Amino acid sequence: MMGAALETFREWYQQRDGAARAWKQQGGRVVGYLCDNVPEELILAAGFLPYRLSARPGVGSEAIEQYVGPFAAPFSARNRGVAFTDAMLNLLLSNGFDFLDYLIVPHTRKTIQAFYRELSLAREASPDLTLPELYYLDRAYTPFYTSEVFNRRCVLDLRTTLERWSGAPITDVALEAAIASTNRRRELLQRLATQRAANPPRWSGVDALQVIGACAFAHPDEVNPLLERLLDEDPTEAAARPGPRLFVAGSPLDHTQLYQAIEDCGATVVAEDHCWGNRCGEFPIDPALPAVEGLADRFHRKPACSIDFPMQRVVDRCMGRAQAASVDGAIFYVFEGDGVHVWDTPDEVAALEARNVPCLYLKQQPYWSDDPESLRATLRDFIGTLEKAKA
Amino acid sequence: MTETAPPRLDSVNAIRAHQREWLANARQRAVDGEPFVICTSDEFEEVLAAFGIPVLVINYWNFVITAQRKAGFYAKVLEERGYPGPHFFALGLGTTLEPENAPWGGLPKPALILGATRHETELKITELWARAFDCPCFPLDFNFASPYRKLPGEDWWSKIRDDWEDLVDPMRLELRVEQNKALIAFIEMLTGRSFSWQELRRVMERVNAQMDVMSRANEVIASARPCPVSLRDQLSAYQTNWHRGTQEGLELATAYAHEVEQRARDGVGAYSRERIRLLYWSMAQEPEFHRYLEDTYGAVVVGAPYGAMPETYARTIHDDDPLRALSARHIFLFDMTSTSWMLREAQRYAVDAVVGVEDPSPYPSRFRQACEAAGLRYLAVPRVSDDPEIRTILDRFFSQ
Repeated sequence: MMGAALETFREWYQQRDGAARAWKQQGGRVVGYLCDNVPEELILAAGFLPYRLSARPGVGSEAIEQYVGPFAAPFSARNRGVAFTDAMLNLLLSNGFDFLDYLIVPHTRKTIQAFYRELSLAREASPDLTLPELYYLDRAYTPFYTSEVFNRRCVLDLRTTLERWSGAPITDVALEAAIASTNRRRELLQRLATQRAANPPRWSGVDALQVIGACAFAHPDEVNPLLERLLDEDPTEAAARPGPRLFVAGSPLDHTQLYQAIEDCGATVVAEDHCWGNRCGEFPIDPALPAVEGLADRFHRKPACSIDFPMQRVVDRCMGRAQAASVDGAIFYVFEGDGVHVWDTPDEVAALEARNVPCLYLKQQPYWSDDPESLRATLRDFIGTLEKAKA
Repeated sequence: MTETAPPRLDSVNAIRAHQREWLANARQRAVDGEPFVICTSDEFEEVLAAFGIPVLVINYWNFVITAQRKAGFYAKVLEERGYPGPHFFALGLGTTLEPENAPWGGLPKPALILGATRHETELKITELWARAFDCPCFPLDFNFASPYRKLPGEDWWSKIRDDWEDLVDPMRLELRVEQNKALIAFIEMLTGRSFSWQELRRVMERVNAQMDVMSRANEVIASARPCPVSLRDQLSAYQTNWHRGTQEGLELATAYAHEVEQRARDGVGAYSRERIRLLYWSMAQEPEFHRYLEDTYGAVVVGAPYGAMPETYARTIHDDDPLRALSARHIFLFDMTSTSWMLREAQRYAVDAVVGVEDPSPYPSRFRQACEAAGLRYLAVPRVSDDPEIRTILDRFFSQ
């Protein structure tokens, strides 16, 4: 599976700002957003390019120190970040995303929410700082009726803001077209998930992660035909991948280091439960609803990060994703300080183990391991036990 | 300045004793079948007071665990169950998972655990805790720690009592009012008790009265020379806040204010040496190095944010709607990042320096910048322990 389509996805994944910069060069404007629950259809319908921010290893925190200041407990402008959120914030404050015209900060995990105040205060203190115009997209976490009413109003408010930014109303026709486009992408990503879950697998998890991730960096009208070409190739042309079928869950993985290490040890990641993987193809917008209501419905139903109530919903979804891929084992990889996953991972591990899926829970992990050999050794041991069990 | 520090205030000892008696009483009432609720701080205490339901505030309980030096034990309890740190908010959950070692015999089973989603971890921990108790959990969205779209401005504290509507997002306020109503209805169903609007109004008025009393006491502490109340006693007196809006809370606060005024009139100093006055701009525990500072440099903490807090809890009720005023307070209590608030307190207490707890950094914090711009010295310490590294930092600062 080494066609030109895959090469393009890999290129977009490696050079994540390439498509956005090209769009910008052609006179377009780019709206950045964080996490996977911002209604990008509204951004598309307003004529902008949506661009999902991701982190980069090794960017440090110099700009955060300079513009937001050190962490001061508890009266801090700065939140105690997780490495991947700190990396994104640092990139924002050091012109790493200088092609963004606007930035939507959603109310998801605390360290993401905090960007809004951190960036606002930084700009107030340093007016010369170049930052995109900010918008805070609120969202209630709870699944109740009152929250749905609130969340719907948040979507409507976002629409009004985007109309102000673009200087024109967002038409139903444009919104329907955007929804059709993103729903198509979700459908194609679901097909990818199905192909990955085939037995034997012919997709490597590393490739799949790059394809899925790259979809967040380019316009869906560009992505979809490429995805179609990629998925229409005969999957049996690729070599069957032997070895254990693994499931990866935990913190958001916007780079391939862990998958590469797993697959170097002879296993294949056939599915995952994090927001840069198969989840990107889930929760299509209901086409039977009026366009904006479909967006509001999805915005409310789709949890922000893995934050949901009751927690059992998070656990059930995780288990469902693993079971759908008939995995031999699961690896939970949780970053140091990642409060979203610390408290539900033990339940997820217990739920899978109760179904005879062996689990490896790697706690307090770095965003990027400087000691991949030690990680590989741990993975090799675990995968070795799975291979024995399989034999 | 007194040669020897006076004993703790009688009123503070009464507050501490009341807290223990209150918990024993709440436990007995729970054992006898009455409802008891566990709640995150600054959320729903007033409504529960109006219901006549005892409420234990999670952060308070966690501070008790920490003060009894059991935080390490319960951190281990949590680690063993697969939950790596930091653990502060979850310490109470630890005491329920292994109650044998819990302070004061542990907590009785609550009728309900409720809390805000100040942080996603708090949502998850309160749910896990409710599961450990086999009781319901009722989450609430947003609170004062959630970022607000509109920065509240540097003078927010002058508007907070009367013009609170200007400081909150209207949509969030509407949501919070609705969620509070839903929670009230849930508690009515759960307990068979009826909620009273009249009682809530009385509670809110008592909160305002209690906060005025505490603000008066703090004003006396700020203006008296020498400082009449130690940081330790100021922090202990803050426990009245866990009984906001109750008659007991008001009476304990009033007794405290009277004793503070008497001490100031008598010229009693809380510290044996008060040469350098400090504002401790942190809500962490009393710094362990405080004694060293006093003994070595005569540097003493005369004020902390807890002294400024009472004014942030009081709200004028507009349009006969106490629940709306309370709901607004739930989502805006104070601006944690405000430097003007800190400077006002530094000025009020006429301090020589401000002490903050910060991670080491080559760049100055907003607080340092604000202090230095105002001609105030600022001491940043990375932690509140008393160890050789911290003493080196202190010595360097106070030797200059």
